[in-house]
Amino acid sequence: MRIKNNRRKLITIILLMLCLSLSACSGMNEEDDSKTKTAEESDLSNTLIYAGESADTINPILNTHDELPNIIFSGLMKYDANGKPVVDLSESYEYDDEANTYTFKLRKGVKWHDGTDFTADDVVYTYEVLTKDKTLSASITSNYEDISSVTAPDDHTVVIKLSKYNAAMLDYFTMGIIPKHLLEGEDINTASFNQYPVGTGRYKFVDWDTAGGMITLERNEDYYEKVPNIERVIYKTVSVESTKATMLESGEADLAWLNANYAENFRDKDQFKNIDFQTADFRGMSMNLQSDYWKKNADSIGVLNYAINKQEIVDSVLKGRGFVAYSPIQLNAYGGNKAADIYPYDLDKFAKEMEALGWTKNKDGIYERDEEKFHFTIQVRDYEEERVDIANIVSTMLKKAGVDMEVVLVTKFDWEAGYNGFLYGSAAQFDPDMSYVGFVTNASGNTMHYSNPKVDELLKTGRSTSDENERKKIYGEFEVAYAEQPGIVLISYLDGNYVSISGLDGLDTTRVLGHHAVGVMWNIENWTLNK
Amino acid sequence: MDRRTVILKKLLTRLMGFIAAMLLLSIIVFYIARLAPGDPLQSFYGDAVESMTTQELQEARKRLGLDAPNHIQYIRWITNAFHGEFGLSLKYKIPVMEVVSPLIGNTLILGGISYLVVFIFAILLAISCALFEDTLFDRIICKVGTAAYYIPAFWLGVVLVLIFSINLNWLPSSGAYDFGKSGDLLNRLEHLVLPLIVMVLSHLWYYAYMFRNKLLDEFRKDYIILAKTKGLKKVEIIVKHCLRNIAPTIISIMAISSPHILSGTYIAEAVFNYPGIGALSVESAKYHDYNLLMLLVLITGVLVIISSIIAQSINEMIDPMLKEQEAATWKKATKNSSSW
Amino acid sequence: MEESNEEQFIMVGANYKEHIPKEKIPSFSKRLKGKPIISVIVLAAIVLCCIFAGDLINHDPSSFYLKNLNEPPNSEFYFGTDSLGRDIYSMIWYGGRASIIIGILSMVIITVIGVTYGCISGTANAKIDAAMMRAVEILNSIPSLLLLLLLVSIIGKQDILKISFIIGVTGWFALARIVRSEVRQIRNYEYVLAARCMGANFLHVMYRHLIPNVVSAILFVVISSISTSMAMESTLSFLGLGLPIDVISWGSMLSLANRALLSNTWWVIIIPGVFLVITLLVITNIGNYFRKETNRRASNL
Repeated sequence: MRIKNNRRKLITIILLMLCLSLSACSGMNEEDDSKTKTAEESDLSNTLIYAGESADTINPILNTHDELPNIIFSGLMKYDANGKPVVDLSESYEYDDEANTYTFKLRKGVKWHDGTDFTADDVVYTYEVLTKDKTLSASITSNYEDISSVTAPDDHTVVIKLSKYNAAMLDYFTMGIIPKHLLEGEDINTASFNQYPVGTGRYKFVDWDTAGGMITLERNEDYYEKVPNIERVIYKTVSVESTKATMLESGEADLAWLNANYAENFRDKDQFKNIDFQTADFRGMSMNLQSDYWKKNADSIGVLNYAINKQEIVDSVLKGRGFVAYSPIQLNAYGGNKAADIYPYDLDKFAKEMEALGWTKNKDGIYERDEEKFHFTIQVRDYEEERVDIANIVSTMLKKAGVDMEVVLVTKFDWEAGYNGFLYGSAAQFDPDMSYVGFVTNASGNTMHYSNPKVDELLKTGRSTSDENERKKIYGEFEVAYAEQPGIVLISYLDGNYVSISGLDGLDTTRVLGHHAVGVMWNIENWTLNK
Repeated sequence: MDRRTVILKKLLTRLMGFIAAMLLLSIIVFYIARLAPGDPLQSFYGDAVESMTTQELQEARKRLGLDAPNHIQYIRWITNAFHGEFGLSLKYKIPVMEVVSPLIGNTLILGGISYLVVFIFAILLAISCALFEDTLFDRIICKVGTAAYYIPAFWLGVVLVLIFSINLNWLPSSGAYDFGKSGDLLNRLEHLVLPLIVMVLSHLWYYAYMFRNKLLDEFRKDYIILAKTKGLKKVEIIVKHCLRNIAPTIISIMAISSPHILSGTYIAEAVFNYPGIGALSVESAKYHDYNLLMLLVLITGVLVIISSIIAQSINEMIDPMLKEQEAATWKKATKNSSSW
Repeated sequence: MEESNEEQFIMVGANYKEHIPKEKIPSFSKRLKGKPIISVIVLAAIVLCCIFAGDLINHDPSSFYLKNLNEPPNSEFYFGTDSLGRDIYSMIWYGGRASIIIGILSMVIITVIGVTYGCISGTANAKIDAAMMRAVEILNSIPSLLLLLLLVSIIGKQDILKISFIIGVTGWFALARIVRSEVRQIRNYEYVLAARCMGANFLHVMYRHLIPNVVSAILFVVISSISTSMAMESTLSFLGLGLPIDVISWGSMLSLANRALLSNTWWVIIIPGVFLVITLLVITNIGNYFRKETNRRASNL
């Protein structure tokens, strides 16, 4: 009897636990149900599923290399197919040469995704954040340092006064405008807005489902220009590169940016399309010139170029989808000065130059100077496969030539840990002035403390010169000056290899894409999907 | 004393012990986080730190609560924690609770189902192996089981994706559910199949083998002869007598096994891009997102504690005389185990 | 001689059969019966190959043969090459070195900590014993991977020593418990009591009596901790928390497996995995031999 009794108790408890867990599960499901009920009713035939990188915030000011801010937000200007700035939120603009002042006439009747009217105050607010908020972790604030005041005489006019002429300013006015009524008084870095963005762009944010790893956007039916054909975009957050490829393969995604190695596997498959964009995105080893090692040996950075067979790297890591880099603005309309291509792959030349610089090989075959080995460390983010591969191969090539480059994998670049450099990537796909932040002494994106008076001067004049031919000359000179005293050992440019299902049409490869092949959705309103 | 009060009291002391343990754990993690390389300010603001002035830096420090000495910071953290505030995630820049809470459900589903499946299969497998002790069947299962246990879980996952997602295209390779299907059980199950296979295969034999040996011990006891002479069938003896006798052992093992199975979710979630707190823990450790990591450690601790308290309480209900036995089974259970 | 003996003596008794004690020389095969001979041979082969990796390899394991990408196994690259032209065959032997060293080092650390802790706990008085066991219980209730994550995140840059250390210090809990319970049992035996009565101090007792007696009980756990440590190393590599990239190990090779998923280069996925799993299995098999047999009696069922 006793045992029976106990058993009954046991069974009751187990049943109770099962009920509890089930009810907990179903409770959770109910909650989710209500959230996505509307979505469930409609079918997914006109829904684009994009496998993208993992995201933490969606804010045009914080996430300059991401795809989503571009389609949720819109700016005073936008880029056309050729990368030239044209009006967007503004109807027209005037530039007053004398006073260095831009006057924008804004579109009327534009509404934020939450229904509030878009006004000039929002523009003023956005540019005040960009110019005044010092906590901004954006690497772009130097782009706006010439702005001296932003005012709104009325609801549809914005006056932006510059301290001096800036040739690239119209480009920088493409920055997405953020809503004042939702953000004023909040810390832009931590505002919950960053997870629930409200913009004026082509798609509006609906839901960020972290448990499902996806961000849902729906087309903005009230958009002031062409409303997109594709009804809904689901951005799946994927942290591993190979997973994006497997998702395409198994039909869980419709479009993804893959590295050359993975994209190659889709080339001969009927149900997929390879769309290869040109990008202005280059890879190279950027040296931390403030580290003790390079303070002493900065004269020996450029010479490393001779010892690296860059074409072989392009052919292997990039499967030929890219080309050898010699200048950071090589693909820019203003760049590509062949005179800057001064480092052919030539091991004999390398040996000679090293000797001239005072290096001698020790018994292990590694160069030494002043009793110090030619040894430096390069940090690489472990989840970026093509960067890891490039670093690895460069390291073996340099070792053969007598230079010890140590590759350290990190997840997040750590500037404090005393590494001598990192595997760098950047792009100047629009105005050549995009390289200003990275190369001018103490500019906001110049994390490696590159400083070259000649480069500073050229980039500053380039920024304040309006004549196109003159600018071309100046940036050509910049390329040469930089090549002579580089802070980055440039390796290669890479193509933006997008792969989609065959039913997706409308992607336009006219546009040169940016860093991480960003910008593919520049004409998303014209895409059509036929699943 | 009434038995119920005794149990209640026991439960209470156990709870107190675990709370003390959690406090200790939180102190350790907190100090580890502060000792670790990398400036939290840098994690938060990124490169902007370099262009900030000293005063701005100080203000930022104050805003993030990094200006006080470590022990004050800890006291602040723990008082906030009691109010349910665990600070901001350095990576996501929102309260860590908001980052974690949507993901707990996913991990509980994966972990909970694996837990049940592992133990149900372990018991079934143990019975069938014990029934056919030392036959070819038993020996083959033993070999295969050991092999499965030692195959690295992530590699198994990759091979499964290769077969079932890429070549056969039967099952999805990633995620917890498809768009708009978070309430669709079938869809969730479809996504769970591969992670579950990995979880089960990499844990099953560890427990099945323990139970098998335990059953074999049981078969050598004298009451079996009596039962046989009574004319009971083999299966009846096993189910009615042997299993009941080793039930306390099974439950004790189940009680202490939740961390083992939780460990498995880290890998399964990482391989299958399944959003959950396991993969999040790996990520937060890699990004040095210590506020997030602290909370994850605490949540894991609470999960472990709850499951072990439940199991121990069940055990005591079945057998109030367990106290001495517990020590013995504990020893036996661990004897068969290698390190986790 | 024998014949004459038979003549001189008369044997009596029914069915008398002379008992000639034969010196037992069991055949070689009989002596090996029950011993994990195949496992030992396989393990020895793998270990020897790894030790003499330098003579076996036909390519530089850390080089990229950029002209030979994704080559299936052939006469030049015995196990094929990966997407960057690394020779899998040469990497296997070099990688095996790192993996096996990590396994053994971790095992040593686990054994040293586990045995010391267990002995102290087992010989101490009840209060200290309870406290020590409680501590182990708490540590054991944290998922081992989480502990590893915490340690990895504070230790920074890794090498073989550090990673063995991390795996070691998170892996000794089970062993400590077993040692402790064995010590508890043994310490009440007469010979230990006798030694103590004769004035032997604690260390002496531990060294002369406790450790030798405990060894047989823990050998299985100790040996299989080599395989668990090796498996753990590969898991850490996969999670991106393992060795730096210039150190090749089976774990780091395996962690490249998901990169090869789509390109149908099965050899990159399967070959290192097979080597790792086989090694783990033979080590466990050898460990099993030392496992105390508990079910000697015949089953009543």
